[in-house]
Amino acid sequence: MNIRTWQDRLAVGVIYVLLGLLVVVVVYPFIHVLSVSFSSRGEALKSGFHWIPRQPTLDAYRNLLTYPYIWSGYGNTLFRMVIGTFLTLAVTVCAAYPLSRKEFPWKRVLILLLLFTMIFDGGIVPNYLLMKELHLLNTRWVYVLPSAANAFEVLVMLSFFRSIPDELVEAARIDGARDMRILARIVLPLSMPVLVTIGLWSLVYHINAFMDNLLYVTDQGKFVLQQIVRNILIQNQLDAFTASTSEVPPAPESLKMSTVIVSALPVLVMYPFLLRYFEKGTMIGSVKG
Amino acid sequence: MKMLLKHRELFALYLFAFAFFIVFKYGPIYGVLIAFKDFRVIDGIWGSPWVGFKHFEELFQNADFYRLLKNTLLLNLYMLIFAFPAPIVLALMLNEIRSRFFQRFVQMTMYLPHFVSWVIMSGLVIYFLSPTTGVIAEIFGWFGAKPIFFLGQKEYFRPVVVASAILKDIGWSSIIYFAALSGISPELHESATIDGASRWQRILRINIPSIMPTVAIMFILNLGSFLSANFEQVINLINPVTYETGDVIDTYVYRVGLQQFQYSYTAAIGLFKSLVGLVLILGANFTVRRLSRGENGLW
Repeated sequence: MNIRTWQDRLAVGVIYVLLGLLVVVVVYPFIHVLSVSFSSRGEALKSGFHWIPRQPTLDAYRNLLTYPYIWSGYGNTLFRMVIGTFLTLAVTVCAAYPLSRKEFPWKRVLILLLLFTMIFDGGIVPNYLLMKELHLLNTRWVYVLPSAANAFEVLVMLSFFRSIPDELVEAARIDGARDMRILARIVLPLSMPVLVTIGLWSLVYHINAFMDNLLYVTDQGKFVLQQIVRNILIQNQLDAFTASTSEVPPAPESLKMSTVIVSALPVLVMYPFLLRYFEKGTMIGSVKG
Repeated sequence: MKMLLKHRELFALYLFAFAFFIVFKYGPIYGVLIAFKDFRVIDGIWGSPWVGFKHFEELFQNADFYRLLKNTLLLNLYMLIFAFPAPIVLALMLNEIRSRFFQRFVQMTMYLPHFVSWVIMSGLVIYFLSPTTGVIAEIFGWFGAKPIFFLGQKEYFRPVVVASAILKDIGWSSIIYFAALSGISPELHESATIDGASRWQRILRINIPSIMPTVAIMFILNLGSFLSANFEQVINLINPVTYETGDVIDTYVYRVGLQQFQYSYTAAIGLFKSLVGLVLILGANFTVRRLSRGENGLW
């Protein structure tokens, strides 16, 4: 079937070039950021392209690690990753499992009630007032409680649970197993792929989330990593660094770029793992709700 | 009652989960009431006096509102025109590549920005677009062009937002289209080739029609977050110079509502936005169902 005309070759050539360019646009910034973060002051301040630092130095990183809120930021982000993901999975399983059982009543209405939360949102101000009334403002719980209720994830898990053969559940029931036991012993062990997928969605959400911090938390000690990064990178709050005692302080650019590297590190480390499960996960997620 | 007892374990599980939805998803909907009241913190949501549609009338007379509405609609329209088809084009291009290695390599690289937060992404956009030290300014220099301060000029705000949004999610969003393309039977292509169809014709007549159902679903899902999209991005890229074109409903509500405490007034804008969003998604779903005779659509 390979009748290759010159137009055909040209088209494929153009595609290769375009895709190549796209890759460069993503990969180059990464090299640049890494390079500047290790550069000495003079070099980092130079404009234009950066490939390999001529005099690599760890000054920026040393400075960054003395930044007062980096560690608490890491801690708070870790808190929301662990507790938040656990809570999300618990709520998602507890909502999806009863809905997946044939004999559970009012399924249609209950699913519609979930769907509605996906297409209508109270808005920023009512959400803020709610957190205020619940006394969640300026607490770490505001990071993990609201995000545990995610209708889309419930629907994804629901459709996975439905694909588990009924006979397995029925057999266990005849053996006298109660619902909780069936969930723990039969349904959950068979659902590892979807649990991993939703768990990873949740983990990535929590690593990168900062809106809830911006809206609800003003106490710096409770800021998550991304909010600290935002202050350094975007709001240019570099005052804490000027207290550094070294003779030639690192360039602001180096400080910012080392912040980028340090804060993106968890994702970069997880990346190969994420790739393996996420592609499959999007496919699980594409089933109709 | 008997049913409750029989399924008490299932009900207990469901109640635990549903409580989260009641409190955190339906709770704010109760708070929407303040859009029809003059909210005072001491009186609480229920105790504050009713004022009917006062805030909405104020809203529709305020020039700010039309600016926000225009910015929000335009930005989202550009997103729909440019950012929505981008991953489809990427998937179609990847599908023409024979080398599995190159295909995987491009995919794995293009997924990466999706996992980086908007804080970092925006910070890098600002840094690379800087007119003094940025790489883009350097490239402009090669062609003898003067550097442009992209984020300091209101005309460039929307293009920068759309372009960076494309870059962040083009790879990730292409997964689903790529999978749909891989599902097309190779026999279809073979027989078309024998009939003398060119590559371009095969893309146009086989590939694109085959992925249309997926495109329709993604389109509706996209409309679901139509007016709320890009908040995380805009709030990081915007600065007072670009308020005129960049300020969207959400950024305004955040600034004026939460930072200047005009709760009721901005709750009214928020409600307006949510209602428009609701109408849009229901309308889109209805239209897609009609067009595909009930086969596509979310529900």
